[in-house]
Amino acid sequence: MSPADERYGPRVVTVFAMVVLTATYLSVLYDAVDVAGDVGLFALVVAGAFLAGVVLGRFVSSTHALPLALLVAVGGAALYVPSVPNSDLLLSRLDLVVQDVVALLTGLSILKIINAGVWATSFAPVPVFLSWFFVGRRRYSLAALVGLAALVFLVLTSDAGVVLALFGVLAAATAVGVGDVDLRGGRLADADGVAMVVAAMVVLTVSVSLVPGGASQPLLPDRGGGAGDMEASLTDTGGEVAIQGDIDLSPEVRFTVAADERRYWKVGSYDRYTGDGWVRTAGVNEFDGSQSGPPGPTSVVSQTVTAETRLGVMPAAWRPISVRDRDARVSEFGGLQPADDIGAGERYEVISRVSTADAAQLRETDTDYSAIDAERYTRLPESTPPALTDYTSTLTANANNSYDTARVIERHLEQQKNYSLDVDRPDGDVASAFLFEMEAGYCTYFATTMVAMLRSQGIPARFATGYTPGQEVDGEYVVRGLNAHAWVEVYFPGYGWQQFDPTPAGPRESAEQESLNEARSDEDDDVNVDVPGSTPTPTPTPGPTETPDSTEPSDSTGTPAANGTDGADSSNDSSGSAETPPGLGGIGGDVGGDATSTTGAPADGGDGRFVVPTPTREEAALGTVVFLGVAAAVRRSGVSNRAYRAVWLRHQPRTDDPVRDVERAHERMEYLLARERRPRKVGETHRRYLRSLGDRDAMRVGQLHERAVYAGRVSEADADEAVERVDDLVSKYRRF
Amino acid sequence: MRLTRRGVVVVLATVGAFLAGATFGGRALNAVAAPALVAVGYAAVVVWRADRPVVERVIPAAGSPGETHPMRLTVAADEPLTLEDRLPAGLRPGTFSTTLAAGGDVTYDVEYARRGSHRVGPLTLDVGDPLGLVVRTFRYESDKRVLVFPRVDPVTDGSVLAGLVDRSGGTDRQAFDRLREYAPGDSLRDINWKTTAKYGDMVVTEYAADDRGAVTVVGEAAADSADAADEMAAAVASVVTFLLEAGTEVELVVPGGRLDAGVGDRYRRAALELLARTPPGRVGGDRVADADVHVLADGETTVAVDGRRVRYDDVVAGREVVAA
Repeated sequence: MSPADERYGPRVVTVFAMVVLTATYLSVLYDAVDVAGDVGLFALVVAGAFLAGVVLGRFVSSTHALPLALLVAVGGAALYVPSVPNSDLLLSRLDLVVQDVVALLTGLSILKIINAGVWATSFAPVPVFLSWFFVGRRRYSLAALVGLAALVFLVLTSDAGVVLALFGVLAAATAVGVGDVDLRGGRLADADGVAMVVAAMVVLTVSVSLVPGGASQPLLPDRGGGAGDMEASLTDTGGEVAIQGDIDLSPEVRFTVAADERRYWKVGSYDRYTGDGWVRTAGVNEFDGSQSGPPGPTSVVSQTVTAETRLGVMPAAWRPISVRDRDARVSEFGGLQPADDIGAGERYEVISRVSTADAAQLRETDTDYSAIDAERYTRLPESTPPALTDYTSTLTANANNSYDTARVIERHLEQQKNYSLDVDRPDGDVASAFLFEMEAGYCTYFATTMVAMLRSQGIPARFATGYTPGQEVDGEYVVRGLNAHAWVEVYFPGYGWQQFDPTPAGPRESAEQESLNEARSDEDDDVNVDVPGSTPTPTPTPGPTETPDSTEPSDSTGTPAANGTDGADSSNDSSGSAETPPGLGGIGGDVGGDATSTTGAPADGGDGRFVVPTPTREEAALGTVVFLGVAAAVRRSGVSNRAYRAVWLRHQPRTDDPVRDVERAHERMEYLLARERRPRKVGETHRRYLRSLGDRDAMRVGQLHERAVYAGRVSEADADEAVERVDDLVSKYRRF
Repeated sequence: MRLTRRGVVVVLATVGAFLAGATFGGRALNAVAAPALVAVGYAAVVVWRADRPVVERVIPAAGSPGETHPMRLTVAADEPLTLEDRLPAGLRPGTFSTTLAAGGDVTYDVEYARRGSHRVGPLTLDVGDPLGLVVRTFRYESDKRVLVFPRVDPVTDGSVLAGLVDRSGGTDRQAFDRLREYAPGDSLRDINWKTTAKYGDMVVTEYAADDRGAVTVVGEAAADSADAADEMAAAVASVVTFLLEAGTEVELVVPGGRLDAGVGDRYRRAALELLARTPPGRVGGDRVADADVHVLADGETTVAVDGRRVRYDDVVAGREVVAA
């Protein structure tokens, strides 16, 4: 290494580590901007903050760091605050701001912020500026602290994943450690200790889970008291759907509905598509007892829902207009949530008004979306592959109104994709992956893809979750965990949100039935699979088996929705008692009101445990870090030197020159004898030394050596002999 | 062994991550808390296992106030460390500290501020881990001392002392006494080369010695006044230097000790070393009575020669001029 390398090596490594640290939290913020913001502006702001930080850091003293950062923060706020609805209210109600911050710090994803993109764009420059200002001032530990604080904030909001967080922490540790070496004027070799501790971090973090697991449970300000158990609170405060891979279905009965019509029992809808999941950005308020129904022609559906397990949600046909016997809260979208969890056996009554608009009416609608925030419902992540739009445009070229477009897409997905609960979660944009790469999926995939395709055509659409009608028993609908489902709502001016379901109904129902049968034969007393009347045959089910009602009691009534979803729905609803909710797994813990669906949710994730990934770039990077640490440890311990000696002693490459060969053989012998017998004393001749050891081989090699050195005349054969005798000596004294 | 500020932050963050995970869900907090814990644990082990580093110190040579000399330290260690060396009031800087990525040589400049025999140290080493989370302090006491001589002022008005130089002054090179054989220790300049060449053996010239004895210089300073001692030492050093340069034999008595009569540079250096160490105080009656030169620093510094007392400032009037 040249002197310059030695001098600047630590600095280069430190700056690189800071780049990595910055990249970790920026990547999270970028995701938010990608989903709901202006990527170009974000890049510009970040680059500006970076340059300003580095340049000012060179010339301005550290005491100005905080005022300057404050200035950047105020600039960011000036960008963000006006974009918030009722921003004047925001400024006057600081307690609301504090509540929001607490919610974020306890696990509310930044994607749920209404203007997540703007928020991320205004937040990003603060840590970027401040940390690079400190890098410019060579205050590396402060720089790392700032960067790490930003990252930890995003970990707390549950937006930064385990791998990303680990990389950030490793980068911060490297910046601090190697930065110290730089400040102390050390060389890169002095940073071997840092390499070792960072490698130890990787190894132990991968193998140890320290922090208790569990999905995040944000402290939301609007959530009344500490009522309810944790899983239940999760289901109604979630507001988030992560699309997952394999899922299971829970056959446990959640609730029964006494209603005069088969309907999808809706739980919530989601407006923000993140490419790999759904987020609801709507706020929640107290429900004052009634709200208006959907515009256009409607009919009244009255439902009495009896909870069979503790429910954190309030399923109802869309759109509920009033509730009795229960305090409720209402989302900005008009969906209901219980004020407190609904205990098993408790009931509530909901009156809904259901749109009865028919296809002809919907075909006639215009595209005047001024009544809603169309941008919110037509937004796709900027990184969505353009192929999705192109494909959809071609597919729907013949449809000349929104309704037909929706039907074409719905039918296309229904026909082209198979239903399966056993899928690998794709990387990247789920909608594109499902459309172009996957052959099968379950309701979450179907609904997600359909919404994305509609949005690509500028048609406002959102993702809805809830339960399919369930098994009909004596005029009531028995709804199980496996009835959880996801579908699509499309907005039509004058008629409101209309329901579409792109999931093929037949296969879905058989999957559900299968799961139910399995649960029944399991005789698991703990799981409440049936209610009186819902068991198909008098099998030895321990449950309260009763009327050997046919397997398909009456779920087979007509389509739940007069609108939109007819084709799909009719087959779908005709399903047997086992109205299995393919959707459910996908909606994970968020939708199903039940513990089982939550806990049964597919693997990975939530518990904060680091699962060793299959060989990926991340793993390769971590492997490199560990390798560097091990190399540093080896170097420090001197093992490499010893290893070299061990090989040197055992293996002598031959040369053309017999004199040199004999000399080297002699060196090896001396090294060996000095360790195994005794070192030659000062002033002792070789000959006397060897004689005192009394080893014939050694004496002979000594003779040859003397001849080689003093006479300079040894033959090839002599050299062979010397090497061979030394080899014998080595194997005599050293055996492993 | 204790946590640094940085270590405290990391420990608090770990605990915070744990509590936040337990209360509000794990999220990815494990990826923050586990490495943090590893870092602290690793640090504790590294620092706990660290051997006491070996420190060697090379004391700078004695010198005069205002001079700057290098202090050299060699530290043998594998871990990053912070070194802090304390110096007493007579030396500057009062505290020197530096950081090292590992062991190595440290050199820093010491400015000699004030007369005295200054004991250096203690030196402390904070041995830390690679991330600087935990440190352990090793303390090194030192008996080594840096000697700073008193100030020496040029005597501008030698009239007061002139009599002493004339009266004593050791040998008068004009007054030839006799020739004798060379004996080891004789000055080369006394060798009579002419005679040596003639006889083949080394022959030295012996001059007539003025046997009126050495000039006895006594210095005293007001007790318990370090400043007075400094002034006395400076005055004595100046007078002694003047006398020695004039070739006079000098005997020195100060509260710190007594130096038998002698001449030349070696005597001057020995006198400066004694004066560097001498504390304030008195020397005792007889000696003052026997003194040829009596220097007394008691608020004002005065020099008495054969009972005639003058202000020291008048003796070295030039200093005032320079100072003004």
